[in-house]
Amino acid sequence: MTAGAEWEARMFCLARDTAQVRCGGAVFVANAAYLETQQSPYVFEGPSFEIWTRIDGERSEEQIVDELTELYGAPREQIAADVRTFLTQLLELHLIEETPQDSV
Amino acid sequence: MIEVVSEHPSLRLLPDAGAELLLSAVVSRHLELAGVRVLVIKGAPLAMAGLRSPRESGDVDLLVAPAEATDAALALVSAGFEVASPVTVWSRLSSHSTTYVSPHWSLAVDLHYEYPGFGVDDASAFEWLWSRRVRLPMAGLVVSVPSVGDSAVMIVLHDRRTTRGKGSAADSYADLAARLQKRGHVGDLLTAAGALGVVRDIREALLLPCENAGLADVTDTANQSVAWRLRVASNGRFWAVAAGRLRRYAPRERLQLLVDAFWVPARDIRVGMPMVPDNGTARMRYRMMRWARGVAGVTSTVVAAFVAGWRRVSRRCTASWRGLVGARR
Repeated sequence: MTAGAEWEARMFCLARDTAQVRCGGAVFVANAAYLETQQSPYVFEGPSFEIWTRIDGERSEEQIVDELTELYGAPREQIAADVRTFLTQLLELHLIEETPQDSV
Repeated sequence: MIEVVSEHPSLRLLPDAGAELLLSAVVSRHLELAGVRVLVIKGAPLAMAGLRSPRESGDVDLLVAPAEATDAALALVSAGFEVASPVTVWSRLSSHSTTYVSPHWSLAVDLHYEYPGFGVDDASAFEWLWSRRVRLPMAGLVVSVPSVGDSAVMIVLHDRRTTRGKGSAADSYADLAARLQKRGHVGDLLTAAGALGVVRDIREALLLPCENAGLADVTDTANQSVAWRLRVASNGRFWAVAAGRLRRYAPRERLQLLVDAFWVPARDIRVGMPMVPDNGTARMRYRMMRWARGVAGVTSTVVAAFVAGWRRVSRRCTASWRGLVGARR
């Protein structure tokens, strides 16, 4: 399995101290453990909302990309790149974490 | 390109109800991580427990143990919150909470280190509430809230304090009593009222409307409810509260506070009483008005204490007399 394929197979869930409130087509997110450095909540709307709501510890990155490709009808490569970037940012901000493989 | 954006204009779209849930959950968890035991009180938890209808709130109310108040304040400051109004002699001597605000949140955080009205000391009251806390899912996290019975007691005490006995809340109390009965929480309410020393305080508001509440079986286990009654009876409640609060400070600080309480510094008057014109004469007039109110408050407190004591003595004498007469017959 290539590195890219490994990445696509990874699953993610919300970090332990991440709180969220959904309001219409937006979700407001904050991580209590990082409130000192991230004092303002994040807002995810549109495509970021669609990705965020699919981060449930059960869907892999590949599945999320497939679903968004179907939803938006855009080229898969472009959506895959965007999803990867977004997930990487979320990981760096500790808003999500990788789901341990043995818990799946 | 999808990016993670903070300080987003859409933050304004989050209704206060949603912001209350998110802020309650995040700040509560943040304090827990700082080692502070915290209870989310009033507001959203009451609606979630079915004790009152959902309503928009302007702040999030948290209750911490008095001994952990400093740690809680430091944790809030580290998260970008700051005290909403400057500290004055009044806030040091009579306030039971401190309000914190942050430019990143639309709601304020009201940090309570006391909850006025309990018939037991603040630390004991918190320990009781904490020992019976309920874990409630909120915005994806889990927060601690007081039990249903404890929450009902706190609703009545809060109303008594804010309306100072002048408001007519009978309808809302009847509704609250009906909700408690419907959910089978009357026993919990009685336990809470007894342990927190507020049986007499909530008797009319909540216990009487609850049919078959078993009032005869409940008595205050605390002996300080008279103190609260005196506080309520006193017109100048500041002095009654301040007298108890002074004991917490070190002797030197206590003396300084006492001096400041009698001769309020110009800075505190400017900050706390902006309606007082900023000149020496107006400040002097204001200080004299406070002294007059203080004397009136102390007088009514002493009278209330005397009446309460007299009633107790006369009740005991009557009971002894009846016992004596009954024994002779």
